[in-house]
Amino acid sequence: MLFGSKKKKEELTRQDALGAKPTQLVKAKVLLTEDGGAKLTVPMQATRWTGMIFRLPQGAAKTFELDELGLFIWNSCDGKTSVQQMIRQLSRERKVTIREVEVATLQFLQTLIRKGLIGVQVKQGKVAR
Amino acid sequence: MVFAWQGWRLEMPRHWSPLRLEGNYDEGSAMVADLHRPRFALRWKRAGKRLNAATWTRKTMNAEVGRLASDEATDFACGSAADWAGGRLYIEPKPPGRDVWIALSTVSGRTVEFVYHAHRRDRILSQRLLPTLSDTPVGQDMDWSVFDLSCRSPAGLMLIDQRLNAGDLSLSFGDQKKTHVTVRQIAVASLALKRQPLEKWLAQQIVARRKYYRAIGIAAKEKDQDLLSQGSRRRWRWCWRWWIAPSFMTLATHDLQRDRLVIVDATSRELATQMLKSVAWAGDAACGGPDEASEED
Repeated sequence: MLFGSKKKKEELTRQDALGAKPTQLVKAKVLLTEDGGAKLTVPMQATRWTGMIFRLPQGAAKTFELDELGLFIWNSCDGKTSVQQMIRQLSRERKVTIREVEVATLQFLQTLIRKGLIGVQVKQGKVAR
Repeated sequence: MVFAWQGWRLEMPRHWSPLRLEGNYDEGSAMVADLHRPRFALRWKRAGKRLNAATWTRKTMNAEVGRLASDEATDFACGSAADWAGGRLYIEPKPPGRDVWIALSTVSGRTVEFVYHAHRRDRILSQRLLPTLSDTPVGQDMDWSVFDLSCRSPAGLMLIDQRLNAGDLSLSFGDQKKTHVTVRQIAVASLALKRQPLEKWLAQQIVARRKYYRAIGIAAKEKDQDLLSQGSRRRWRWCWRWWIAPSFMTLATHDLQRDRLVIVDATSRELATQMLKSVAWAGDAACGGPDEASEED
Protein backbone atom coordinates (compact mmCIF):
# COMPACT_ATOMS: atom_id res chain seq x y z
CA MET A 1 0.00 0.00 0.00
CA LEU A 2 1.24 3.48 -0.92
CA PHE A 3 1.09 5.19 2.47
CA GLY A 4 1.35 2.12 4.64
CA SER A 5 -1.49 0.25 6.21
CA LYS A 6 -3.79 2.10 8.54
CA LYS A 7 -4.16 0.45 11.89
CA LYS A 8 -7.63 -0.83 12.48
CA LYS A 9 -9.37 0.71 15.47
CA GLU A 10 -10.07 -1.85 18.14
CA GLU A 11 -13.80 -2.03 18.73
CA LEU A 12 -15.28 -2.14 22.18
CA THR A 13 -17.30 -5.24 22.86
CA ARG A 14 -20.26 -5.35 25.19
CA GLN A 15 -18.23 -7.49 27.56
CA ASP A 16 -15.52 -4.79 27.66
CA ALA A 17 -18.03 -2.04 28.31
CA LEU A 18 -19.65 -3.90 31.21
CA GLY A 19 -16.30 -4.84 32.70
CA ALA A 20 -15.01 -1.25 32.54
CA LYS A 21 -14.24 0.54 35.79
CA PRO A 22 -15.18 4.22 35.65
CA THR A 23 -13.14 6.63 37.70
CA GLN A 24 -13.72 10.23 38.75
CA LEU A 25 -11.62 12.73 36.79
CA VAL A 26 -12.38 15.82 38.85
CA LYS A 27 -12.22 16.66 42.50
CA ALA A 28 -15.76 17.67 43.22
CA LYS A 29 -17.21 19.11 46.40
CA VAL A 30 -20.17 16.96 47.36
CA LEU A 31 -22.95 18.69 49.26
CA LEU A 32 -25.63 16.26 50.39
CA THR A 33 -29.22 17.44 50.02
CA GLU A 34 -32.27 16.64 52.13
CA ASP A 35 -33.86 14.37 49.53
CA GLY A 36 -30.92 11.96 49.61
CA GLY A 37 -29.25 13.40 46.54
CA ALA A 38 -26.28 15.71 46.30
CA LYS A 39 -24.88 18.79 44.60
CA LEU A 40 -21.52 18.33 42.94
CA THR A 41 -19.47 21.48 42.63
CA VAL A 42 -16.70 21.20 40.10
CA PRO A 43 -14.11 23.93 39.42
CA MET A 44 -14.35 25.22 35.85
CA GLN A 45 -11.34 24.96 33.62
CA ALA A 46 -10.92 27.01 30.47
CA THR A 47 -10.19 25.00 27.37
CA ARG A 48 -7.33 25.96 25.10
CA TRP A 49 -9.26 28.25 22.75
CA THR A 50 -11.74 29.74 25.16
CA GLY A 51 -8.84 30.45 27.51
CA MET A 52 -7.36 32.74 24.88
CA ILE A 53 -10.57 34.72 24.41
CA PHE A 54 -12.16 34.71 27.87
CA ARG A 55 -10.63 34.75 31.25
CA LEU A 56 -12.40 32.70 33.86
CA PRO A 57 -12.86 34.43 37.20
CA GLN A 58 -11.11 32.79 40.10
CA GLY A 59 -13.17 30.16 41.83
CA ALA A 60 -15.60 29.75 38.92
CA ALA A 61 -17.40 26.47 39.37
CA LYS A 62 -20.16 24.39 37.84
CA THR A 63 -22.76 22.66 39.95
CA PHE A 64 -24.44 19.39 39.01
CA GLU A 65 -27.47 18.16 40.89
CA LEU A 66 -27.74 14.41 41.41
CA ASP A 67 -30.59 12.39 42.81
CA GLU A 68 -30.15 9.36 45.10
CA LEU A 69 -29.33 6.98 42.28
CA GLY A 70 -27.03 9.47 40.60
CA LEU A 71 -25.10 9.90 43.83
CA PHE A 72 -24.80 6.13 44.22
CA ILE A 73 -23.28 5.85 40.75
CA TRP A 74 -20.99 8.84 41.32
CA ASN A 75 -19.68 7.25 44.51
CA SER A 76 -19.24 3.93 42.72
CA CYS A 77 -16.97 5.55 40.13
CA ASP A 78 -13.88 4.77 42.19
CA GLY A 79 -11.85 2.89 39.59
CA LYS A 80 -12.47 -0.38 41.40
CA THR A 81 -16.15 -1.05 40.75
CA SER A 82 -17.09 -2.27 37.30
CA VAL A 83 -20.20 -1.12 35.44
CA GLN A 84 -21.64 -4.61 35.76
CA GLN A 85 -21.17 -4.58 39.54
CA MET A 86 -22.92 -1.20 39.74
CA ILE A 87 -25.85 -2.52 37.73
CA ARG A 88 -26.23 -5.67 39.83
CA GLN A 89 -25.95 -3.78 43.11
CA LEU A 90 -28.47 -1.15 42.07
CA SER A 91 -30.87 -3.81 40.85
CA ARG A 92 -30.61 -5.67 44.15
CA GLU A 93 -30.98 -2.60 46.33
CA ARG A 94 -33.79 -0.89 44.43
CA LYS A 95 -35.55 -4.07 43.33
CA VAL A 96 -35.64 -3.01 39.72
CA THR A 97 -35.04 -5.45 36.87
CA ILE A 98 -31.49 -5.67 35.61
CA ARG A 99 -32.39 -4.53 32.10
CA GLU A 100 -34.07 -1.35 33.37
CA VAL A 101 -31.11 -0.54 35.60
CA GLU A 102 -28.68 -1.27 32.79
CA VAL A 103 -30.35 1.16 30.39
CA ALA A 104 -30.55 3.96 32.95
CA THR A 105 -27.04 3.43 34.31
CA LEU A 106 -25.31 3.32 30.92
CA GLN A 107 -27.17 6.45 29.84
CA PHE A 108 -26.13 8.27 33.02
CA LEU A 109 -22.51 7.15 32.73
CA GLN A 110 -22.41 8.42 29.15
CA THR A 111 -23.67 11.80 30.36
CA LEU A 112 -20.97 11.93 33.03
CA ILE A 113 -18.32 11.06 30.46
CA ARG A 114 -19.61 13.75 28.09
CA LYS A 115 -19.43 16.33 30.88
CA GLY A 116 -15.86 15.29 31.60
CA LEU A 117 -16.60 14.19 35.14
CA ILE A 118 -15.55 10.57 34.79
CA GLY A 119 -13.28 8.55 32.57
CA VAL A 120 -13.36 4.88 31.70
CA GLN A 121 -10.28 2.77 31.16
CA VAL A 122 -11.62 -0.35 29.58
CA LYS A 123 -8.42 -2.30 28.88
CA GLN A 124 -4.84 -1.39 28.10
CA GLY A 125 -5.08 0.46 24.82
CA LYS A 126 -8.84 0.71 24.74
CA VAL A 127 -10.44 3.89 25.93
CA ALA A 128 -14.18 4.54 25.95
CA ARG A 129 -15.25 7.80 24.35
CA MET B 1 -39.26 -14.80 37.20
CA VAL B 2 -42.45 -15.20 35.22
CA PHE B 3 -42.56 -13.95 31.66
CA ALA B 4 -46.06 -13.74 30.23
CA TRP B 5 -46.71 -12.20 26.85
CA GLN B 6 -49.50 -12.60 24.26
CA GLY B 7 -50.87 -15.68 25.99
CA TRP B 8 -47.52 -17.43 26.44
CA ARG B 9 -46.31 -17.90 29.95
CA LEU B 10 -43.06 -19.38 31.22
CA GLU B 11 -40.64 -19.13 34.08
CA MET B 12 -37.10 -18.05 33.40
CA PRO B 13 -34.05 -17.08 35.42
CA ARG B 14 -34.37 -13.77 37.20
CA HIS B 15 -31.64 -11.93 35.35
CA TRP B 16 -33.04 -12.62 31.93
CA SER B 17 -35.26 -9.98 30.46
CA PRO B 18 -37.04 -9.31 27.18
CA LEU B 19 -34.95 -7.51 24.60
CA ARG B 20 -37.37 -7.36 21.69
CA LEU B 21 -41.12 -7.91 21.62
CA GLU B 22 -42.94 -7.80 18.33
CA GLY B 23 -46.27 -8.70 16.80
CA ASN B 24 -49.63 -9.56 18.28
CA TYR B 25 -51.51 -12.60 19.52
CA ASP B 26 -51.78 -14.16 16.07
CA GLU B 27 -48.20 -13.71 14.98
CA GLY B 28 -45.13 -12.36 16.69
CA SER B 29 -41.84 -12.96 18.37
CA ALA B 30 -40.04 -12.33 21.63
CA MET B 31 -36.33 -12.31 22.28
CA VAL B 32 -34.94 -12.67 25.77
CA ALA B 33 -31.38 -11.82 26.80
CA ASP B 34 -29.25 -11.49 29.89
CA LEU B 35 -26.60 -8.83 30.41
CA HIS B 36 -24.20 -10.49 28.00
CA ARG B 37 -26.00 -12.25 25.17
CA PRO B 38 -29.36 -13.32 23.75
CA ARG B 39 -30.66 -16.41 25.52
CA PHE B 40 -33.74 -17.50 23.64
CA ALA B 41 -36.27 -16.44 21.06
CA LEU B 42 -39.90 -17.43 20.82
CA ARG B 43 -41.78 -17.16 17.54
CA TRP B 44 -45.44 -17.91 17.10
CA LYS B 45 -48.00 -17.83 14.31
CA ARG B 46 -51.64 -18.77 14.02
CA ALA B 47 -51.89 -22.07 12.20
CA GLY B 48 -54.29 -22.75 9.35
CA LYS B 49 -57.24 -25.02 10.08
CA ARG B 50 -55.92 -27.84 7.93
CA LEU B 51 -52.38 -27.79 9.26
CA ASN B 52 -50.90 -31.22 9.87
CA ALA B 53 -48.80 -30.85 13.01
CA ALA B 54 -46.42 -33.71 12.29
CA THR B 55 -45.65 -32.60 8.72
CA TRP B 56 -45.28 -28.99 9.72
CA THR B 57 -42.89 -29.69 12.60
CA ARG B 58 -40.74 -31.91 10.37
CA LYS B 59 -40.54 -29.25 7.64
CA THR B 60 -39.87 -26.42 10.07
CA MET B 61 -37.20 -28.38 11.92
CA ASN B 62 -35.50 -29.11 8.58
CA ALA B 63 -35.50 -25.43 7.76
CA GLU B 64 -34.30 -24.46 11.21
CA VAL B 65 -31.41 -26.86 11.80
CA GLY B 66 -30.93 -28.72 8.52
CA ARG B 67 -31.97 -32.18 7.40
CA LEU B 68 -29.18 -34.18 9.08
CA ALA B 69 -29.60 -32.49 12.44
CA SER B 70 -33.36 -32.65 12.20
CA ASP B 71 -33.16 -36.46 12.07
CA GLU B 72 -31.65 -36.36 15.55
CA ALA B 73 -34.61 -34.40 16.98
CA THR B 74 -36.77 -36.26 19.46
CA ASP B 75 -40.43 -36.03 20.40
CA PHE B 76 -40.92 -33.73 23.36
CA ALA B 77 -44.17 -32.40 24.80
CA CYS B 78 -43.79 -29.86 27.57
CA GLY B 79 -46.14 -29.46 30.52
CA SER B 80 -49.49 -31.02 29.77
CA ALA B 81 -49.05 -33.29 26.72
CA ALA B 82 -52.65 -32.68 25.62
CA ASP B 83 -51.89 -28.99 25.06
CA TRP B 84 -49.28 -29.65 22.38
CA ALA B 85 -49.21 -31.52 19.10
CA GLY B 86 -46.17 -32.70 17.18
CA GLY B 87 -43.60 -31.35 19.67
CA ARG B 88 -40.02 -31.99 18.48
CA LEU B 89 -36.84 -31.06 20.31
CA TYR B 90 -33.37 -30.79 18.88
CA ILE B 91 -30.43 -30.39 21.25
CA GLU B 92 -27.17 -29.22 19.74
CA PRO B 93 -24.59 -31.92 20.64
CA LYS B 94 -21.59 -29.58 20.34
CA PRO B 95 -22.37 -26.12 21.73
CA PRO B 96 -22.18 -23.24 21.12
CA GLY B 97 -25.22 -23.69 18.95
CA ARG B 98 -28.99 -23.57 18.94
CA ASP B 99 -31.38 -25.90 20.69
CA VAL B 100 -34.75 -25.82 18.98
CA TRP B 101 -38.22 -26.92 20.08
CA ILE B 102 -41.16 -26.76 17.70
CA ALA B 103 -44.79 -27.57 18.39
CA LEU B 104 -48.39 -26.71 17.69
CA SER B 105 -50.40 -25.46 20.64
CA THR B 106 -53.81 -27.08 20.66
CA VAL B 107 -54.97 -24.51 23.24
CA SER B 108 -54.76 -21.50 20.95
CA GLY B 109 -54.09 -23.11 17.56
CA ARG B 110 -50.77 -21.33 17.21
CA THR B 111 -47.48 -22.82 16.09
CA VAL B 112 -44.50 -22.04 18.28
CA GLU B 113 -40.77 -22.16 17.63
CA PHE B 114 -38.53 -21.95 20.68
CA VAL B 115 -34.87 -21.33 19.89
CA TYR B 116 -32.43 -21.45 22.79
CA HIS B 117 -28.90 -20.15 22.23
CA ALA B 118 -26.77 -22.72 24.03
CA HIS B 119 -23.45 -21.20 25.01
CA ARG B 120 -22.27 -24.40 26.60
CA ARG B 121 -23.94 -27.71 27.33
CA ASP B 122 -26.78 -27.21 29.74
CA ARG B 123 -30.31 -28.50 30.05
CA ILE B 124 -32.03 -25.17 30.69
CA LEU B 125 -34.33 -25.49 27.68
CA SER B 126 -35.60 -29.02 28.32
CA GLN B 127 -35.52 -29.01 32.11
CA ARG B 128 -36.25 -25.47 33.12
CA LEU B 129 -37.93 -23.45 30.38
CA LEU B 130 -40.10 -25.87 28.43
CA PRO B 131 -41.76 -27.59 31.43
CA THR B 132 -43.11 -24.19 32.54
CA LEU B 133 -44.32 -23.06 29.11
CA SER B 134 -48.08 -22.73 28.81
CA ASP B 135 -50.55 -21.09 26.46
CA THR B 136 -53.82 -19.18 26.94
CA PRO B 137 -56.80 -19.30 24.55
CA VAL B 138 -58.36 -16.07 23.26
CA GLY B 139 -61.55 -16.30 25.29
CA GLN B 140 -59.87 -16.26 28.70
CA ASP B 141 -58.37 -13.59 30.94
CA MET B 142 -54.77 -13.20 29.83
CA ASP B 143 -51.73 -12.91 32.07
CA TRP B 144 -49.06 -10.35 31.28
CA SER B 145 -45.71 -10.11 32.98
CA VAL B 146 -42.85 -8.19 31.50
CA PHE B 147 -39.92 -6.73 33.44
CA ASP B 148 -41.59 -6.13 36.81
CA LEU B 149 -44.99 -5.11 35.49
CA SER B 150 -47.56 -7.85 35.73
CA CYS B 151 -51.30 -7.59 35.20
CA ARG B 152 -54.24 -9.63 33.92
CA SER B 153 -56.30 -8.38 30.99
CA PRO B 154 -59.98 -9.35 30.83
CA ALA B 155 -61.08 -11.75 28.10
CA GLY B 156 -61.58 -10.09 24.74
CA LEU B 157 -59.10 -7.27 25.28
CA MET B 158 -55.95 -7.37 23.19
CA LEU B 159 -52.71 -5.49 23.59
CA ILE B 160 -52.79 -2.36 21.44
CA ASP B 161 -49.80 -0.42 22.72
CA GLN B 162 -46.74 -0.99 24.85
CA ARG B 163 -44.22 1.51 26.22
CA LEU B 164 -41.49 -0.22 28.07
CA ASN B 165 -39.08 2.51 29.13
CA ALA B 166 -36.66 1.98 31.98
CA GLY B 167 -38.59 2.82 35.14
CA ASP B 168 -41.80 3.67 33.28
CA LEU B 169 -43.68 0.68 31.92
CA SER B 170 -47.11 0.83 30.38
CA LEU B 171 -49.41 -1.57 28.57
CA SER B 172 -52.66 -0.59 26.83
CA PHE B 173 -55.44 -3.00 25.97
CA GLY B 174 -58.55 -2.51 23.91
CA ASP B 175 -61.19 -4.24 21.84
CA GLN B 176 -63.13 -3.50 18.66
CA LYS B 177 -65.72 -1.59 20.68
CA LYS B 178 -65.04 1.33 23.00
CA THR B 179 -63.38 -0.58 25.82
CA HIS B 180 -59.90 0.60 26.61
CA VAL B 181 -57.58 0.22 29.58
CA THR B 182 -54.01 1.33 30.24
CA VAL B 183 -51.77 0.18 33.08
CA ARG B 184 -48.71 2.26 33.90
CA GLN B 185 -46.11 1.45 36.51
CA ILE B 186 -43.42 3.85 37.61
CA ALA B 187 -40.34 2.78 39.54
CA VAL B 188 -38.90 3.74 41.96
CA ALA B 189 -41.93 5.38 43.60
CA SER B 190 -40.04 7.07 46.43
CA LEU B 191 -37.91 8.92 43.86
CA ALA B 192 -40.85 9.64 41.55
CA LEU B 193 -42.84 11.14 44.42
CA LYS B 194 -39.95 13.44 45.29
CA ARG B 195 -40.21 14.86 41.79
CA GLN B 196 -43.98 15.44 41.95
CA PRO B 197 -46.88 14.29 44.14
CA LEU B 198 -49.24 11.47 43.22
CA GLU B 199 -51.94 14.00 42.23
CA LYS B 200 -49.68 15.37 39.51
CA TRP B 201 -48.85 11.91 38.20
CA LEU B 202 -52.58 11.28 37.96
CA ALA B 203 -53.17 14.61 36.22
CA GLN B 204 -50.36 13.88 33.78
CA GLN B 205 -52.16 10.73 32.69
CA ILE B 206 -55.37 12.66 32.05
CA VAL B 207 -53.59 15.48 30.23
CA ALA B 208 -52.37 12.99 27.62
CA ARG B 209 -56.01 12.66 26.46
CA ARG B 210 -56.95 16.33 26.81
CA LYS B 211 -57.79 16.74 23.13
CA TYR B 212 -60.90 14.58 23.49
CA TYR B 213 -61.56 14.49 27.24
CA ARG B 214 -61.72 16.98 30.08
CA ALA B 215 -61.25 16.16 33.74
CA ILE B 216 -64.29 16.27 36.02
CA GLY B 217 -63.69 17.97 39.36
CA ILE B 218 -60.53 17.28 41.30
CA ALA B 219 -58.78 14.05 42.22
CA ALA B 220 -60.59 12.33 45.07
CA LYS B 221 -58.98 10.16 47.68
CA GLU B 222 -60.78 6.88 48.37
CA LYS B 223 -61.97 6.52 51.95
CA ASP B 224 -60.48 3.25 53.03
CA GLN B 225 -57.40 3.00 50.87
CA ASP B 226 -54.46 4.98 49.59
CA LEU B 227 -56.01 5.45 46.18
CA LEU B 228 -56.63 8.56 44.11
CA SER B 229 -59.32 8.62 41.46
CA GLN B 230 -60.49 11.09 38.88
CA GLY B 231 -62.96 10.87 36.05
CA SER B 232 -62.85 12.57 32.68
CA ARG B 233 -65.60 13.11 30.15
CA ARG B 234 -65.60 13.42 26.37
CA ARG B 235 -65.57 17.08 25.32
CA TRP B 236 -68.84 18.42 24.01
CA ARG B 237 -67.34 19.29 20.64
CA TRP B 238 -66.52 15.63 20.08
CA CYS B 239 -69.99 14.36 20.97
CA TRP B 240 -70.54 13.22 17.38
CA ARG B 241 -67.62 10.82 17.68
CA TRP B 242 -69.75 7.90 18.82
CA TRP B 243 -66.86 5.46 18.36
CA ILE B 244 -64.76 6.86 21.20
CA ALA B 245 -65.67 6.10 24.79
CA PRO B 246 -67.79 8.79 26.50
CA SER B 247 -65.78 8.77 29.73
CA PHE B 248 -62.64 7.53 31.41
CA MET B 249 -61.77 6.74 35.01
CA THR B 250 -58.19 7.09 36.19
CA LEU B 251 -56.90 5.50 39.39
CA ALA B 252 -53.48 6.05 40.91
CA THR B 253 -51.91 4.42 43.91
CA HIS B 254 -48.58 4.05 45.62
CA ASP B 255 -47.76 0.37 46.13
CA LEU B 256 -45.73 0.72 49.31
CA GLN B 257 -44.70 -2.91 49.45
CA ARG B 258 -43.08 -2.86 46.02
CA ASP B 259 -42.29 0.87 46.02
CA ARG B 260 -44.02 1.44 42.70
CA LEU B 261 -46.58 3.96 41.45
CA VAL B 262 -49.42 2.27 39.62
CA ILE B 263 -51.77 4.26 37.40
CA VAL B 264 -54.73 2.65 35.68
CA ASP B 265 -56.81 4.43 33.09
CA ALA B 266 -59.97 2.70 31.85
CA THR B 267 -63.27 3.37 30.17
CA SER B 268 -65.19 2.23 33.24
CA ARG B 269 -64.56 2.24 36.96
CA GLU B 270 -65.14 -1.52 37.27
CA LEU B 271 -62.58 -2.27 34.61
CA ALA B 272 -60.04 0.07 36.20
CA THR B 273 -60.56 -1.50 39.63
CA GLN B 274 -60.34 -5.02 38.24
CA MET B 275 -57.12 -4.19 36.42
CA LEU B 276 -55.60 -2.47 39.44
CA LYS B 277 -56.30 -5.52 41.59
CA SER B 278 -54.52 -7.77 39.13
CA VAL B 279 -51.35 -5.68 39.03
CA ALA B 280 -48.32 -7.46 40.54
CA TRP B 281 -49.88 -10.94 40.41
CA ALA B 282 -46.39 -12.26 39.63
CA GLY B 283 -45.02 -10.63 42.77
CA ASP B 284 -41.75 -8.74 42.77
CA ALA B 285 -39.71 -11.82 41.98
CA ALA B 286 -38.65 -10.04 38.83
CA CYS B 287 -35.77 -8.38 40.51
CA GLY B 288 -33.60 -8.56 43.54
CA GLY B 289 -31.48 -11.39 44.85
CA PRO B 290 -28.90 -13.50 43.14
CA ASP B 291 -29.84 -16.12 40.64
CA GLU B 292 -27.90 -19.25 39.84
CA ALA B 293 -28.25 -18.86 36.07
CA SER B 294 -26.90 -15.33 36.12
CA GLU B 295 -24.02 -16.09 38.41
CA GLU B 296 -22.73 -18.72 36.04
CA ASP B 297 -21.19 -16.01 33.81
